[in-house]
Amino acid sequence: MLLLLAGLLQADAGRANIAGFDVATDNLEARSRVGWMPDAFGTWDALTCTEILATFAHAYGIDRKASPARVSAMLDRVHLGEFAARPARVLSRGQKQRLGLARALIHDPDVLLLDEPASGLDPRSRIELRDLLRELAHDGKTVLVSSHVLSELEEVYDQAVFLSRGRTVDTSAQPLEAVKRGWRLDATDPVGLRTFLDAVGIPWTGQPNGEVIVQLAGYESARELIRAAVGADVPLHTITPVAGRLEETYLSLNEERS
Amino acid sequence: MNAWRLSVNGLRTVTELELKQRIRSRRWITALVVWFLVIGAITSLVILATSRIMGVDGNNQNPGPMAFALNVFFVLGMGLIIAPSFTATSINGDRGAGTLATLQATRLSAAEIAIGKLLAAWLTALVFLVVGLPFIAWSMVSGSISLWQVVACFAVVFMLVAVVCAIGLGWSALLSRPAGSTVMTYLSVVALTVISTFVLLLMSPLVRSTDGVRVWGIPDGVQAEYQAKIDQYWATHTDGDVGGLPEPPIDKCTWNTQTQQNVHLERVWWITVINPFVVVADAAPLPESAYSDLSGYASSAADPLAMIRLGVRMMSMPPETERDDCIQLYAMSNYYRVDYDSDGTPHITTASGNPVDIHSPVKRRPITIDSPIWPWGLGANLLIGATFLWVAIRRLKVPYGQLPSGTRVA
Repeated sequence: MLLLLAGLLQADAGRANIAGFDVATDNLEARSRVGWMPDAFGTWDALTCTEILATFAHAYGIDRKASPARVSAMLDRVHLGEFAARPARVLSRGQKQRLGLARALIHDPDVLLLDEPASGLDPRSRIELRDLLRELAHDGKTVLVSSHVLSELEEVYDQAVFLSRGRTVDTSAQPLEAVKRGWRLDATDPVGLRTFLDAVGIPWTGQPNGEVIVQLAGYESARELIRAAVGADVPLHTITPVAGRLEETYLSLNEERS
Repeated sequence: MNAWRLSVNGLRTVTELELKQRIRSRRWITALVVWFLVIGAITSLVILATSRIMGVDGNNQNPGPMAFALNVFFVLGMGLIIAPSFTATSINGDRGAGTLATLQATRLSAAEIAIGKLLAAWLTALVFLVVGLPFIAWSMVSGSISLWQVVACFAVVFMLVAVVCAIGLGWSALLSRPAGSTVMTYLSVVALTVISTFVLLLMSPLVRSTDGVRVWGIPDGVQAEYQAKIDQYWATHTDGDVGGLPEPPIDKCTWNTQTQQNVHLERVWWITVINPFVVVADAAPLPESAYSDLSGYASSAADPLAMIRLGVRMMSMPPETERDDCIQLYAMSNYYRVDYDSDGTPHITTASGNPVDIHSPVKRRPITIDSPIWPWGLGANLLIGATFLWVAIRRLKVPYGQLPSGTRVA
């Protein structure tokens, strides 16, 4: 689907517009407004980072006089400034990923298509990527991230679309609240927590680190549990869903399917 | 259409990218140095060998044309081998490395990517050919090769190299595996050069036919009489003195009709016109004298380029419908000289210089260079190159409708 939006594939049916341009009939205009970062992409190993970005700047028709400044600004933005004059083959996987992002952003696209952007990134780059994406979204760009790692998306997404077997699954139809999900509880007094849970009749499974996992249906049940625990003077300090919301939604969709 | 849009900026971007990648690797310099040494060694060897060959038997022919021809052919042959390697994996290789799709997604058009790649490969191949120029200049010094000849030959070689670059590009767009496209590219080059020659050779038995021919010759009865006289002469002159041999009965020559086997190469000769070596040979400028008497020049100057030219032209002529057997009798005898004037009329003189009136009605066909053949060959080659370039552009066009099986966009 990203290939289709990037203007490289023709749709069998249906239409897609990028920044108001139909990718089928106005391919070139649509293409030049998209920044596309495929999941697997190559770099010209012999070229330096600056040269690679400059090539793409020229390929997008950016004025040759303006491109050097633009390229170095973009390298700084993805924290590759020190690699500007180094050939791309010395870059680590994460650095290449960041170079790929810079490549997709070089022409200041209205729409950004990212396929598994965080794969290979170290934790710090992941956080920087998250901030960068939020920043771009704040600037009014459309950022479309495709990923199989749901936790990666958890902190950046505004809207999620689930695709299953080539079809969009309608998430609004899912009664998410009714589905039981795991919650992680922890207290400064683990024994007290367990005694309390036994007392109120909630089944629990203990974790080696003293935490406790319970199954609760919806936020309302969680609130009730907190209220009861505080009332019983259990020193509860953590209550958090085991999985992210996206993951839960996804799993609930799977349940629906089976 | 967008795919065919060409801009200077787009072409420059792709060409620069390709050239930078190629120049950056150290192997490039090594290859160029090795190439310089190899071409230097070969051309020196050619020049030395030809001057030695021409120098023997005191005939002291000018070794220049021979050395020049061999060197030009060597450079052309090497160009045909080196140039395809720059493009034969250009598109499917990039696709495999995952760099093609990101370029296709930019504003660059399919034509810009394809032609940019072609330009870069061609320029690289030209560097290799230009490295050989000093040695070509050396073979010029050794004689009778004009600057014009060098320029014309190399211009044609450059264009043919561009054609094989385009063939490689087309195959690399058509086939998904680099190994496959490399093989097909080299097969195409071999088809143009070697296979076309083989096809012509194998066709020659197929175009053989038995045709009627008018012969100006001695009737059978007279021939038998003449042979008897000769036998009698030798029976009485056992000392081997040939002074009193009876003259051939030329005055009894008449027209008669015979049949003879003809190989009608004029029906298939055009196959060789596509051969890059023939194109270059035919395009090479020759001295003024060669244009009116090509066969005379080719044999006296020992110029392989002129010989190929002569051979192709001879093949293109239909077999003669009239034959002069009587003139052969004179030509074989030590007592007569046979000369032809410019329109092919034979003149026979005795060894002492007295003209003999033979009334031969058959003129020899002079072979001249009145119409060049090479534009057809070069045109056909350029057409092939353009077709492959067109294929490459078609295959690079986005958005893809139906993906060719076994390929991925990214």
